[in-house]
Amino acid sequence: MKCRKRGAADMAARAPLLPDEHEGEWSLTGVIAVMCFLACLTLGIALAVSRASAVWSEGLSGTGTILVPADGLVSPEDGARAVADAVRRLPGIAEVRIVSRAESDDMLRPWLGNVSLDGLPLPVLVAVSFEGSARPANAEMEAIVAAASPGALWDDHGVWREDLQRLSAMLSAISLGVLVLIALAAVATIVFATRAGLESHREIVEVLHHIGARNQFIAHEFERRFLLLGLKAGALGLLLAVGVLLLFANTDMLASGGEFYLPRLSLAASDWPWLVAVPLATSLIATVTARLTVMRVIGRMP
Amino acid sequence: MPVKTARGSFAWAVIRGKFAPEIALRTDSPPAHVCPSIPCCILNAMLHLENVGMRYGMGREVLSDVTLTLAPGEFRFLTGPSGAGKTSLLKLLYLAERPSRGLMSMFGRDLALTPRQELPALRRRIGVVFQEFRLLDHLSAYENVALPLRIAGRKPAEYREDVEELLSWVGLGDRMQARPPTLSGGEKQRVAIARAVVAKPDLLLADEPTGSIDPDMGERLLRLFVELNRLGTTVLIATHDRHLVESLGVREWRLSGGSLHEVPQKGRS
Repeated sequence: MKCRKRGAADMAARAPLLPDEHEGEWSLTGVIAVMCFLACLTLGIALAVSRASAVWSEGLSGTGTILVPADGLVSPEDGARAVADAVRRLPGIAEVRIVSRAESDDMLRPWLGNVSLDGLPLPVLVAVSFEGSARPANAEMEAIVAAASPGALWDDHGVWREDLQRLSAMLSAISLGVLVLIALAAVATIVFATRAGLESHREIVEVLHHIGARNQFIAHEFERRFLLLGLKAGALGLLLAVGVLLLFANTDMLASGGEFYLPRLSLAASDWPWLVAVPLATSLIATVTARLTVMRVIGRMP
Repeated sequence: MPVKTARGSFAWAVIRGKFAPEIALRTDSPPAHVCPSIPCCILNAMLHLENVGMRYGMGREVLSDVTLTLAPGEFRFLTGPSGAGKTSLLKLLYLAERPSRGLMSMFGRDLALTPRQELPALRRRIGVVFQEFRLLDHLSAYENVALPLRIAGRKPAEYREDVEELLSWVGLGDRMQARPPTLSGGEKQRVAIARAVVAKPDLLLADEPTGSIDPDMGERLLRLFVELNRLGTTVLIATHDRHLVESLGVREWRLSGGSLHEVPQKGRS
């Protein structure tokens, strides 16, 4: 019986010096969880867009497409063969491949539906890939293509690639800005919450101060409170964000194989540590902010 | 059964009957005296104030030209009518307020020259019984009493027995886990006193420490202060209770209108 009593006393001696505040704490946990959720989502989307953009941009660079229209005097198939033969002779060419009629039909099907395309005068595409950097200039390619088959056009994918890179850079900048704003909002929220906490616990803080507690000791009590709160809220926000990102990655955003045209937005294994770092950073921000706020307030006491 | 050795605290000496049952001050305490002009005296003083004034904000001075010296091992009463400035003076002494003017030194250190980060260590050498108790309502009586030891970095296993014994001695052995809102005024006051003395402070400052306690318990607690003083703690008690002051016959300062005066002792010239 005595042992049980002493055990209870020991447990009590290690009890937190700040009382639990369930109501205020839950609202603050909710706010920080939402911020963490938004930060994780923003970061996740930024990483996915950046990865997809890199993959697509890499696929587009080092390749080009020749379009042989079906309105010439010669058949587009003959024109495509003439162009392919002319291009193969150039230095720096890795592969020249005439895209078959069946492949062209598959590319058009998402737009035209499952209708028969037989008899439609479709242009023939010739896919060209280069090796290394010693590739012919665009002007030279245009001249050779036009000479081999009048009306044929050379497309080096530069316009697409530049647009994609510009979009990716813009999304990255926006994501970074959103992350900074979320971090600032989190700091401001925690400053207000800590000040409110200090005000509501002013009597406790003053008593601790007057009986000789060091400022660090008092600050540590608040730090511990906000570290746990940050971790709890951060984990909640991360879980929600992971759920949304997984849903996003596993949902076919465009029906009937849209990912053939748009890269799939999904995260690689190397991206997940960045997301896990968000709640840790949230807890760190909460802890440091609480400490600085408490130290500043206590520092004003006599 | 072997006798436990002293552990640097007073409780076992008091509780285990090693103190004189009658109220008796330590005989080796140096005489109280005021010597503002002798630096070595100031240096050796527990506490020294010289021409200290204090005001709250831009208000009038609540303490004016207070000069006092409290020698190590001294036992003093601070008396005076309500509003005379007793609590303000005690606030100065437990470093909750700063003087508006004058010199103040404590434990041989000039407070004006003491860096802020060193003040907590000085405060830990002071035990304070606040007039309004100032217990932490969410902590049990045990936790409240153990607070100064916890702040000093002591481990629960080191102080558990001492705290329990002290609480038993002040008559709260069966109320250790009770929280202050469930305690009576007298019980709260006893917890506050136990908290102030548990770490055997060098200086004990008590503001009306027996105000809410019945006479028997008041005498018992006064005995605690006396025993603490006998073991080396300097004690300054602010009180209205003339019976308390006269029962000990120790020196007394009287505050009136913010000014401090030494009260001549009866039977002495």
